[in-house]
Amino acid sequence: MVSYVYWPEHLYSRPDEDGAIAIGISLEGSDIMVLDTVPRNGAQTALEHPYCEAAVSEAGGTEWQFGEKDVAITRFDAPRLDLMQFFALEPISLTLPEKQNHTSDVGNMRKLYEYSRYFHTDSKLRQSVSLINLYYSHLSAFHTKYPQLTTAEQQYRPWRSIFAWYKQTTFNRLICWTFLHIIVMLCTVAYSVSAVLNWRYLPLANVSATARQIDLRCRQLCYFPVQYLMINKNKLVRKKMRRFSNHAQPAKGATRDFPCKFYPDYIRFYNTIWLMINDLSFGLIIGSVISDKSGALCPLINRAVTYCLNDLLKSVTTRLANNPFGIKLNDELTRFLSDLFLWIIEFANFYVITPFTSEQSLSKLLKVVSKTMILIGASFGFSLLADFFTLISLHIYCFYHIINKLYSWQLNAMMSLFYLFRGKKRNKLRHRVDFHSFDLDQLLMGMLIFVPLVYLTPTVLAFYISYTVLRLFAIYFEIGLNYVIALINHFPLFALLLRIKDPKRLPGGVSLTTADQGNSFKLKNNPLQFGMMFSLYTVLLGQIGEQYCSLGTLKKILGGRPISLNRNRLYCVLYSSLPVEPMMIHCIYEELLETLPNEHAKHEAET
Amino acid sequence: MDEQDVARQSSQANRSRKPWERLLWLKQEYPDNYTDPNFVRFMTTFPLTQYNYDYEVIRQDFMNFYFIILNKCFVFITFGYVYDYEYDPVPLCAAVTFFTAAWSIYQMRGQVLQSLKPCVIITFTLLTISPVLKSLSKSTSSDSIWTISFWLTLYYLFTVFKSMAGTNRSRNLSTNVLLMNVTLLSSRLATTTQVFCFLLLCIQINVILPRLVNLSSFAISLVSNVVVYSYISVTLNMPATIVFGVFSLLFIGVLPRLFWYWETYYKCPTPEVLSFWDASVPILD
Repeated sequence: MVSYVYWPEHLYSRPDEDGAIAIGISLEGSDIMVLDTVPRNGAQTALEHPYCEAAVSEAGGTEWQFGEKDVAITRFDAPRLDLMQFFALEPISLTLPEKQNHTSDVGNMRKLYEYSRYFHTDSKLRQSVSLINLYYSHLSAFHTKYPQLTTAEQQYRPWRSIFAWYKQTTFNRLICWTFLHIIVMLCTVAYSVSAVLNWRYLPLANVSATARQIDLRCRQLCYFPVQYLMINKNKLVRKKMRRFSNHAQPAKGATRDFPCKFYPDYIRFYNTIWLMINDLSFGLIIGSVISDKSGALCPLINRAVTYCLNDLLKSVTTRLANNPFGIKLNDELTRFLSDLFLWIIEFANFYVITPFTSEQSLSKLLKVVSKTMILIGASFGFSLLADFFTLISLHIYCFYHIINKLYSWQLNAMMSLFYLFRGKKRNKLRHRVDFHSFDLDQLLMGMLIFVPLVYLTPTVLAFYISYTVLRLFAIYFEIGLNYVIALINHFPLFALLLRIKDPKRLPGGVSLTTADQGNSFKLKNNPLQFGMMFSLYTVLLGQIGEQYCSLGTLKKILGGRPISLNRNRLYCVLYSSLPVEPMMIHCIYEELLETLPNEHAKHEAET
Repeated sequence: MDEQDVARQSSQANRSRKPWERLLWLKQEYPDNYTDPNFVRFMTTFPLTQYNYDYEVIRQDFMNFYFIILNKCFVFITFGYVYDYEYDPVPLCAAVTFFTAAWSIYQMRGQVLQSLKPCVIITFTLLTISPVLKSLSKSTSSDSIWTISFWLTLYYLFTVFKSMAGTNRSRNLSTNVLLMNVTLLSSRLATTTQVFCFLLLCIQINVILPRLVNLSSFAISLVSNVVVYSYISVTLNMPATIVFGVFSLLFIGVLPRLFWYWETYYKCPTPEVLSFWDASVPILD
């Protein structure tokens, strides 16, 4: 069986003329990783257990001699944890772990994954990878233990000691304490605002895009301390581990899955902050453009809104009343429906559209939107616009619901009466259709209602389809606006930049390639794929397509089931980097206090 | 010798076993391909009986069917009376209603109150729905209505034929098809009164009266025949009446005889095993 030796790239290429010993480390269940090479003549120290002589090279020799026969060298670039580089077997996830089953919820696949056989095959590699990730920690531990074998020198950094001194001053503690309490207050306010917006009896966040946007910001604000704690806790663990690292054994337990655990939190935390800043900068640009071009925009919007929400609707309704496409509809019902809808259009036009979209009020609105954008971000401005559109397209919503109710009632009645026509009846208890002998009056009444309903179907259907199409277009427009907001709010900007700047910080698995004419392997980091970063958007687009633009939608429309814009269900995908419920700040207050620089830390630093 | 032993053993085993039952859901000590000896005995001794068709019954069935057709013709007669000739339907309607009411009271002495409820419901439904029906098919051309009505009539005769064949289930259906046809025709009429009277007349003549009186009684059949043939001769002409008459005579006189002859001499006798050994149709929820 071939055994693998993991060899840091920078050591592998080091020329050795006098002969050298490669010192390796191997923890339980992992392969040997070469820590350092020492000159052959100086190394007479006996090495204790985790350390061993991995390979020896003769004086003047160019090849390494191994104790065992079949050895495959695997070279790797030592990951620098202080720069947050690491290897990981699985792609790191940018969403919260408890929300991941959205995307890959395949029962059998999970069973396969959890099957013990597949678990064990990579356990050695897994151990080795976590050993490799801690290369520098192990190296420094080794140097501490065997100072005589050390070749490198510790660098002295003056600013570090100044920083350490500053951290112990009372002034710093006061600042930290004040800052902490300001944050606690802010979080409490944010929590209560979020609670109000998600009030059970009137969930404003579900109705208005602006409320949803405010809710999102509040939740993010509430989540910041938690994220900070998570990142910090892992840092504390790392500190403790360093203290133990004089003896390599205890370090093992703490390192099991160390980098991958807190790192996504780090990415999420900074992604959110970046997005907020980004939102503001977009807001500054778009807001200033809007306030600049306000004079030209107002008449344009006015004309567009008047055409789409008034003239178009009127012409559609009047056309429906006058035998559309030569189809002869029932005159009385057509006249009634078109009159009803024309009244509603008139009403909406008089009370909503005209006052809200006159050029004065439009310029006021644009001023508010541009100010909002400049002050708190583009997403708020866009949500204001989305809410404005929802408000002025309220009559389309009304039309749709009126005609949808009519159609679904008619369809329902016709179904039941058709059973009656065939002399059958629905058996509710057994969920089937049974024969039933009806009384004469029942039959007669049923038939007398059934025939008019059948005759009126084309008329109702024509109205229903026209208004459903209008409603769908309105929904598409709203979804478009909301999608822009979602992009601003949840774009994986930080991850994307990281991916460009340093792909090693965003591992998406490892790959082994042959190198050196097939003599050795090279362990490489596969950076996270772009598709995985945007997987949420693909899922969201798929959901939108499924809900509003598919065969299922057509079936839903023909079946008379209502189509509605459920913001909550639509955007739950994008809330994947936030917990379901915002956390109360007092739950973590104690823990936050612990992170303050305190007397104990001071004492420890002195020793 | 051996075979006999085996047979004896198996018969002994059979004796100890429970008798086989023709139930799929019972777990029985029999193999899957077990054939009950009773079945074999039944099949071999089954008498291939030839049914003796009673000519009288066949003739009566044909007569009944003929009367139903005549009865159905009243729908068109009434419609022609109101739509083509534009007579005032109110006196006729009143007369027929009076006759129906008197007859039903005479027949159902003591149950007048019970039959009052459907009457009231029907009347009020008709009153409510007649104005709607009047304008319902205004935008549809008459030809399409006649076509639909024609097919509905054929369908009606088919459902009547099926309901006469034994199953009582399609009786609802035949009534419904007739009502649909009537409603459809009524939507062609000009005034609400006409619609109401036409619907009431048709319901009484075609739905209520056949349940009260025996259509094949001499007086009723005579009246039906006279009315239908005179209407045909007045509306169309004499030759048409003669053609119709000849056809109906053939239907009543020759067809039953032919049918009986065919059933008796040409139809293969089939053992009706399936009555008992038929696979039962499970009712699946």
